[in-house]
Formats: sequence, C-alpha cells, structure tokens
Amino acid sequence: MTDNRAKMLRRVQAAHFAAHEAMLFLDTHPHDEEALAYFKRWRDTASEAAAAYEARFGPLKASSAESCWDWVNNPWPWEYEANA
Amino acid sequence: MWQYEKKLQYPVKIKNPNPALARCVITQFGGPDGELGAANRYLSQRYSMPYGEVRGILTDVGTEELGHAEMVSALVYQLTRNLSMEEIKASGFDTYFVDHTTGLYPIAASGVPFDALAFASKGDPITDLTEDLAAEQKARTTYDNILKLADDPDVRDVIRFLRAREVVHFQRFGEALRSE
Repeated sequence: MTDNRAKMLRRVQAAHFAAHEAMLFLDTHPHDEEALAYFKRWRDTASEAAAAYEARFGPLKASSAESCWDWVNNPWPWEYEANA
Repeated sequence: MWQYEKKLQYPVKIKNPNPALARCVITQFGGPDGELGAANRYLSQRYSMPYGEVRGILTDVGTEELGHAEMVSALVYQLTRNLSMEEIKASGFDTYFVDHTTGLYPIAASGVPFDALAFASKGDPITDLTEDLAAEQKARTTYDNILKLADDPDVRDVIRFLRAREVVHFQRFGEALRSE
C-alpha cells in the first residue's frame, strides 16, 4: 500500500470513528443538539473522505462499484498490506 | 440487516509474527468475554428490550463489536503468518495448528471452544443491562491482562484501542440503565 493510500484510509477511519462515537452518545442522549451537530459534521467528513478514497483505490462498500467489480481485489482489511 | 465496509475500525499492522501471543489474543475472539460473544449478546438482547433508546445502543454497540471480532481476528491472522514448522513447535502453537492450521476458530486461550453461554440473553431489561455492564468490565480486564503479557508495541497499540472501547460502552450501558 502506498503512503498516500494508507493516509487516505486513516482519514476515513478517523472521521468514521468520530461519527460512530457521537452515534453511541446520541443513543443515550437523543435530544443533545450539540452532539447531533458534531455527529453530522463528522458523518459528512467521513463520507467525503470515503468518496475520495474510493475514487482512487476502489470500493469500501460493494454497492460503490462503478466500471468493474474491483470489490474483490486484494488487499482485504485483515491483511498487513491493507493497513501499512 | 448489515452492510460490510472493507476497512477495519482501527488499523492492525503487526510486523513480527508471534504464535505464542496469538494463543492469548484469540481469547478475545472466542473466549468467555470475547468480541464474538459480546456482539451476539447485545444483538440478541435487542428483541425483547422495550425501550427505543436501549434498542438503539444495543444495536450500535453490537455492530461495533462485530468490527472488534474482525480486529482481533486480524491480530491472530497476522501474528500467525509465514510460520515455519520449527516456530510452530517451539511456540506451543502446535496444539492449535493440528486442529485448525492457521484458520480462525473461536476458542478461549485455554483451548475451550466458543460457548453460546456467553450470549447471556435473559429477556429482562434490568438483568440484561446489568449483565452488559459486567461484560464490558470483564472484557476490559482481559485486555488489561493481555497488556501484561504482550511486549510487541504493534499489538499493544491495538489492544489499548479495544480496551478503551470497553470503557466507553460501559458508560453508555450505564446511561441506558438509568434512563429506563
């Protein structure tokens, strides 16, 4: 994996994690408007980062496939090469 | 239903294989307080839970735990790659290897196969949430024990992330219990 690919994947993971953490908080604080705004900001950042990653390195979801079925391409997430 | 995302929640990149450590780490896949049991405990408890907020937290934490089962599996997979037969014999990994080669099979560190008793789904909101609070602490203790056993910084980094998640889930389940 190129440095660039790893860096772009980190961006997706970090934004997705922030949105996920806010999601758990909102489950037990559903009327917290500040948390909702935080969630929406990171959700949007995560989907922008995911779209930028997918445009260069292939789908993060099978449903993102476009011109070819590159969903099946290695590496898969549990491989060292997918994370380094 | 669920949709797979082709990424780990947090990166797992283990430079040095270590089959003896894999035998300890695997307990958080298939052991009594592992991620497989956690995911299925919360996802099974949802159905009889009467409150929307608690159904939500059980669904979302349960889903995250599936991702943690994947991370622990990735740890075991990377810790057991490219092994020679000498390394397998010398590390004590031979007793796992003979049954599963290097395939992922859910067992405790002691070798006991995954037991569905870990699901602990009782159908009572107070009972189930109290179970979940204890379960998060038991998983946190197990990660603490792994940190006492593991020297590899690549492994410790991932285990610290997973340990911190147990603390957050404990907090959220505590809020769910109070809000009922």
